[in-house]
Amino acid sequence: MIELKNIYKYVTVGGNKTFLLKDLNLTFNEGEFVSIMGPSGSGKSTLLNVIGMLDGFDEGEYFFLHESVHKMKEKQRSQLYKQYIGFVFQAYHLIDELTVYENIETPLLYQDYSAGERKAMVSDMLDRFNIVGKKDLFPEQLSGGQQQLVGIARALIAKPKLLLADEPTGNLNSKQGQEIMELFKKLNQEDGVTIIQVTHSEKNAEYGSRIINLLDGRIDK
Amino acid sequence: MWYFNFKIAYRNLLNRKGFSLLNILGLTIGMTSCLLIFHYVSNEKSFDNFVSEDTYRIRLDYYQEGKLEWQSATSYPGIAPALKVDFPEVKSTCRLIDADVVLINKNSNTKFHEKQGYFGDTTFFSMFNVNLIEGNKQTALNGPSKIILSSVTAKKYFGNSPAVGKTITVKHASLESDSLGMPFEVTGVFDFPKNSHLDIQYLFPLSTLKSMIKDTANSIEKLFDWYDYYTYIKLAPGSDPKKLEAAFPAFCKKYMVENQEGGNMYNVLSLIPVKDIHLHSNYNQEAEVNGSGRMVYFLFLIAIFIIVIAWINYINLTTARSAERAKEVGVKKVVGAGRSDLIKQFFAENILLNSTSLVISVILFLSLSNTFDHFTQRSDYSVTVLSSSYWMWFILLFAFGTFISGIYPAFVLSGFQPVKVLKGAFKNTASGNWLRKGLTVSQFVVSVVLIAGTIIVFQQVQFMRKKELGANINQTLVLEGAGTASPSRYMKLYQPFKTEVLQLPGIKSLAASSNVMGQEIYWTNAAKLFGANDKSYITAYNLGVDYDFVPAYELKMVAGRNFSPSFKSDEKGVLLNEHAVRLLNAKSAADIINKKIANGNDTLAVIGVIADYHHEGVHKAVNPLLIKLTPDIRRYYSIKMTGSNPQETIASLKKIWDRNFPDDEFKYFFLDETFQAQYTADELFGKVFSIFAFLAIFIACSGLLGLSAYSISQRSKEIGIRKVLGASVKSILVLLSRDFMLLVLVAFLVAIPLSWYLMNSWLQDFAYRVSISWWVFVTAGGIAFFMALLTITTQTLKAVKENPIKNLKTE
Repeated sequence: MIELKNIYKYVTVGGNKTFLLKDLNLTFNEGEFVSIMGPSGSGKSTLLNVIGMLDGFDEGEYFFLHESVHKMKEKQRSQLYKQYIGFVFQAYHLIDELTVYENIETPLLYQDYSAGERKAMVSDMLDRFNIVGKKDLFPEQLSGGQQQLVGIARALIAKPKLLLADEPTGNLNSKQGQEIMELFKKLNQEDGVTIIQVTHSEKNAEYGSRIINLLDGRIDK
Repeated sequence: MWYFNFKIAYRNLLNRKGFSLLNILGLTIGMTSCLLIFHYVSNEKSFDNFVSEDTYRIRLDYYQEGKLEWQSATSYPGIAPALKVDFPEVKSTCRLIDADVVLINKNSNTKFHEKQGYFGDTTFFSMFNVNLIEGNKQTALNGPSKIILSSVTAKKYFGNSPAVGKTITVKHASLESDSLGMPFEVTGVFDFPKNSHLDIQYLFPLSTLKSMIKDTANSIEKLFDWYDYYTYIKLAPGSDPKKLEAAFPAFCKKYMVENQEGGNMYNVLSLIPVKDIHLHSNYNQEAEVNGSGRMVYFLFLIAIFIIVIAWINYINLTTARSAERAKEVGVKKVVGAGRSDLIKQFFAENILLNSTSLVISVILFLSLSNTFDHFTQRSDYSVTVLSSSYWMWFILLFAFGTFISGIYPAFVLSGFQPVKVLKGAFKNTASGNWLRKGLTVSQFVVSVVLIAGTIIVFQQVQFMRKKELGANINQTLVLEGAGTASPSRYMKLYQPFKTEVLQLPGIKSLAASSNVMGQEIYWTNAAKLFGANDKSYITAYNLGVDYDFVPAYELKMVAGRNFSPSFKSDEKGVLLNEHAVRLLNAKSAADIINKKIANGNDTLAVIGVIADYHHEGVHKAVNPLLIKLTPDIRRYYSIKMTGSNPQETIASLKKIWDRNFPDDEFKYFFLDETFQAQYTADELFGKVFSIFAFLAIFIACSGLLGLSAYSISQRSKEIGIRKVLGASVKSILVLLSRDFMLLVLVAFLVAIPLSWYLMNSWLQDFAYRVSISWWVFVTAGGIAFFMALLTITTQTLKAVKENPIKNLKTE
C-alpha cells in the first residue's frame, strides 16, 4: 500500500544539515497494524506526518497505492489523503466551537456528500462508538477518553483505508488508553483498516502486528 | 456549506465575546458615524435638485483697473432680455429681485413685516418647477396688483380658508398711498421646497415693481445698472454652458458701457448651475446664507476616515488573534479542508461581523438622524433620511470595506501549515507584524489629525468671537425701521417716537442707520478723490447714519469729527474708514480731512476718519466705508441699553412703537446675538469635528487594546522568565509599552504635515485667521500618546502582576 524509498528530510542550521529522517526505506501493506517506536526526537512524528502527507521530504520517493506522491501537486495530494487517510492526535485536536456531532461531520463537508448521506454516516458512527447521547455536547464538556473517541470517529467517518495515530493514548490514563487500543485492534481486524501508530508505550506497541524502532531518523535494527 | 461556515462563525463570535464586542463596537461606531455624515452631506447636496439640470444663475464680477472689485450673486436686469435675443440656446430666463413689504389682512387685522419675498418674471413657475396648489399658473402673474403666497404665508393670513381671490394689503415705503396701502389680489398659493438657495414666501409679478417705480417706459428691460437682480436662465437641451460663457465678454461689450470704455472698469459674467449654488456660491448679495462646500468636503473625509479606522481594527484584531485560530485551521486542513474552504469560512465570519454591525448601525442611524439634524441645525432642511444614491454609495463602501478587510485575515489564517500549528509552537509572522504596525500607525495618524483639527477649529472660533471689532455691540437692541410711512410724513412720526424712547429709563441712546453690524452692505458705488483721474475709482460701501450712530457704537475717530447738527454743511459731508483712506491714496487720515470726494453724482467733503472696524465680522475683510449723514434713514434703530431688565424695556418700547407707528410691525433683535450667530456654522463644525475626532481615537484605542492584549499574551513566557530573573515591574512595563508607543510617535510625525496642510486649507475660508502654532500638534500628539499609553497600561499591568510560574508552566 505504501512504499518509501530512500527518504531524507533535513533542516539546515548554521550551514550544517541536521537529519530528521535519513535514508528510510519502508513498506506498509494493506491491513497491517504497525507501531512506530523510538525516543523523543527520533523522527517518529515526522515520519508519520510524511506518510500522512502533512509534511514534505527533501529526497526520496513515496508511493501511495502505486501513485508517486513526490511528484504530485498540493491539490492532488490533498485529494488523495482526503479520500484515504484519517488522523488521530495525542491532543485530540477537536474544534472547540463545534459539537461532537459537527466535529465528526466536518471531514464530510469537504467531500461531496449530500446532507442526507452525511446525517446517515454520522448517526452510524455515533451508534458504533456509543456516543449518541453526547452528540450535542462541546469538546470541553467531555473527558479526555471521550474526546479521543470523537477524534477517532472523526478520523474514520470518511471510511479511510489508512488510519494514522500520533500517540493516541499519550494524554489518557491507562484504562482509557487500553480501551482505545482495543478499539484500534478491532478496527484493524474486523474492518480491515490499515493502522500506523506512533507510541512511547511498549504495551500499546504490542497491539500492532509489527514494530518499527527509530533512532535519529533511521531504522534502529 | 455556507450554513456550516456561518454556524462556526457565529459560535466563534459568541465564544470570544471580548474580541467580538471590540470589533462590533468599532465597526458600529464607524458605520453609524459614516451614515450620519452621509445623511448630512446628502441633504446639503440635495439643495435645489428640484430644478432641472440645465438651469443656471448668472453672476457678476466687477473689475476696476484690472483688479477684482467685487463679486455678486446678482446682476443687471437688462441681461435676461438681451440674452434671449442674442443666444438661441437660452430657452428661457427669469429674474428675481428682493421685495421687503408689510402684508396686512385688514379683515383679521393680521400684519407682518415680510422679508422673504421677491418680484419675479412670469417664467418663475417653469424655471423652478413650481406648481400652484391654488390658482392658475397662466394668469397668476400676468399683471400688477397680483401676489402669490406660499402655503405657510397663506395660512398665516387666511387660516384654512382658500386664499385665492382674497385681498391682501401691501405697504411699502415707496408706495404713495401712504397709510392706506394698496390692495393686491391673491392669485395663487404655492409650495417652494425648503432645501433651496431661495426662501420664497411670496412673489409679485415684475410688472408690480415697474408700476411702483413708475417705469412706464419699461426701461428696466434695457438697464445695465442696478445690479440687484438674480438672473436665472434655462438652456436648450444639449447646449454647452461653457460655449455660452465664452461668448459673454463680447455680450458685455455690446451692452455695458463700462466694457466699451477701454478696460479700466468692466463686467465679467459667469454661470453657475443652480444646483451648485448652495455649496459653492458665496458672493455678495446671496439670497440666503449658503452652506460651505469645503465643510461638506471635510465632513465627507472624516466619514471615510472613521469607517476605515474601524476596518483596520478588524484586520488588526483578527490577524493578531491568529495564534488562537491556528489549531482550528490545522485540524480542518488535516480532515480535508482546502484553502478555499477556509477562506470562505473566514469570509463568513467577516460578513457576519460586518452585517451585525451594519444592522445595529442602520437602526442607530435611523433613530439618531433626527437628533443629529437638531444638533447640526438642519432639521428644517432634512428632506430625506438618506437619498438613494447615498444609500448606494454606502452599500458599495460597505461591500468594498468588508471585502478588503476580509481578504488579508482570510489569506493569512488559511495559509497555516497544519504540521507547524498543531505542534503548538506558533508565533505570528514578522511580515504580519509589520502590516499590523503600519495599520496601527495609520489609525493614529487619522486620530492625531482629527484632534489637531478640532483644536484649530475651536481656536479659530474663539479667535473670531474674541476679536476686537472696533465697535461696541453689547447691550444693543435693534428695531427694524418703520418702513410704511411716506417720506413726507416719516420724520413727523419718528421725532416724537425718538423723544419718547429716550425718556425711558435704562436707555442710553437711539441711532438710526441703513445697516447694523454683522450685516452685508448692499449699498455700494464708486468713489474717488475729487479731481483724481478716473482710474482711481474705488468701490465704496455706504452706510447711512444719523448724528448718534458713531458715538452709540463707540466708533473711534482717527481724525476730524463726527457729524453735528450745528454744521448745516454736514449734509454734504462724509466719514471714511481708514481702509477707504488708504485705497483713495490719501497721504494720511489727517490729510484727507476737508478734501472732496466724488461719489456717484455727488461731491462730498470728508469731515472725519474712523478707525477700521469689523462690520461683517471677521469672516470677511474690512471694506472701504463711506458713512453718510442721512437723518431720515429708517432701516434700523439701534437702542443702547443700560438697564438690567431688557424685557421690561422691550415691553415699554412696544407700547411707544404701536402708538407712533401703528402700521408697522414691532420687530427687534439683540445685536450681539445675531452678530455671534455668524459664527454658529463654524462653531457647529468644530463640535461635529470634535465628536468624530473623539470617536476616531476611541476606535483606534480599542484596536490598540486588543492588539496589546494579544501581543502580551504571546510574550507571557518572556515576561515570566524576566520576572524570575529579577526584572522590576517598571522595566517590564517599559519593555511592553515601548513598541506600541513608538508606533504612536511615528504616527505623530506623519500627522504633523498632514494636519497642517488640511487645516490650512480649511482656514482659507476666513479673512482673519489664527496662525497654526506648534503647540497644537504637541497637544494633539500628547492626547493620542496619553490615550494609547493608558490603553496599553491596562494590559501590561495585568500581565506583570501575574505569577510567572503559571506562565512558564504552560509552555
